[in-house]
Amino acid sequence: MKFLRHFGSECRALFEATGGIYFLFVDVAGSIFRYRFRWGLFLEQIIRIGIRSQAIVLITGAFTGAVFAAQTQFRFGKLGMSSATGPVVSISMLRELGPVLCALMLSGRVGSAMAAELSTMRVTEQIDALRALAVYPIEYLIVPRFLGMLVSMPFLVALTSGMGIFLGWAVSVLLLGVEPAFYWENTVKFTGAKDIWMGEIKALFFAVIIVLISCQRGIHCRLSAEGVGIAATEAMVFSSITVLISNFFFSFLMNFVFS
Amino acid sequence: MMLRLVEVTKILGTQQVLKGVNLEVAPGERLFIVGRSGAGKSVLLRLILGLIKPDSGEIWYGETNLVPLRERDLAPLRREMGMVFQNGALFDFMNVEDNVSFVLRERRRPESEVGQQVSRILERLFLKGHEKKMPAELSGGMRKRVALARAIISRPKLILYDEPTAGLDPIGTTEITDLIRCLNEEFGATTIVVTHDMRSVEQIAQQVAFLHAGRIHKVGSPEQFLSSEEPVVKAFVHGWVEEPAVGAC
Repeated sequence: MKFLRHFGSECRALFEATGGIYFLFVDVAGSIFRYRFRWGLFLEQIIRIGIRSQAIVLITGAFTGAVFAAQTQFRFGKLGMSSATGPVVSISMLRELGPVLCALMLSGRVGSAMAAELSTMRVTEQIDALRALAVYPIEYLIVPRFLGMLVSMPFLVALTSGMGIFLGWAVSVLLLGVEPAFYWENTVKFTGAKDIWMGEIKALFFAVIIVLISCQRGIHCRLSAEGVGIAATEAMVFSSITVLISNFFFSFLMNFVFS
Repeated sequence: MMLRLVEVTKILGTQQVLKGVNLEVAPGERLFIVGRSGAGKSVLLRLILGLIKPDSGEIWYGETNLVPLRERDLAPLRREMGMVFQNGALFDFMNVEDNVSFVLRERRRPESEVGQQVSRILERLFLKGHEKKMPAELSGGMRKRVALARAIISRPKLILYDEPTAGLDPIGTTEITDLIRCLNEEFGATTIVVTHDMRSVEQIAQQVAFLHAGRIHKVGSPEQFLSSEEPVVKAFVHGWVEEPAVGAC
């Protein structure tokens, strides 16, 4: 009985959070058009998300590409398929690893920071103070984050994938002795614009997911120090899980769309 | 009447905090709302500002009932109000100057006017020289004064103070109390103060409303309130307890 009650309350919380995220999205989308555009706050978010996250996504992309290329080459080399390493690495980085790993890193670095910041503002009544001063918090706090993330994410995904492909090439060609001409020729031959598009479209979806979940957790946190910590953790965990699950469906959907 | 509350009720969690509050505030009046902790005084301020909605009842600001209004429709009315939060609620990512000038910049006043007004108000509230400090670097009293500056810089018609002297030393309390009186007299703004501080009630209140058991139990002048023979009022004023606390020696 206790288990059922707990399960029921968890389900209810999940439905409430999902509904909250939907209404937040509607509110944010409306606020973009309803209020004046805040260039200063938008550029601040571009710096925080797009510029300050570059190092972390470059490292993520680089070493993922390197390891992936090495593992692929170890197996493919034995089968005499070394020339396939390049396309496998590039397609995987562009379609899957680049967007997903970049999104996971951003949900940890940016999403949890957004949730912590907004929840602290809620706990210290700063969000109420904004409302008291006739400023709509969604427009002032969330719209710049939303747009900043939406603009930054495709660039960061491109960096992650690009770095992964580059280091994959370096490991395969410089360390493992794959013939460079074959590597590039096959990489270019089997990698198309649709692979890039798939990654970039995913990047936009993941940006929306991360920013909405993180902001929703932040502005609906419990009014305590513990609540701030929980909001930051939940923002990271929920957005990461949602990215991973939705990636599965996106992949199928986009393979269908781009087939 | 500037402000009129009619049978306002509010439930928070499982507790009915307000059980039918009726209150009227005249323009320019200095009303102090007193009551025990948890009586719902701060909730009342939040209801007046539209930060939360009542479960039933009406809140009239002039000729407008605030209750059915959406957030967007409340904004023009909030521009006529100012609130000083208990802990200041200063924006911790802005320095003192930016906190104070925030409202004016939001309302797109010319920069020259913003600079002049901010300078004037900071001087008036003894904050000159602290413009570039961040909220974390300020003392409790200074933080309250910055919050006060931010609330009054746009010359609101209605100013709400939530425990403005809580946590301040006696000198800080006197400073803030004097400022509330001076600002009310200078700007003529209607002032509602929620407090526990009976000294400031005695010194500067024009009207006192005693909130008890979810209702406004008594409204009157400070003299009437402080000399009331009603047991609950008397107990509150003198700090008498009906039953000793469990475990008290």
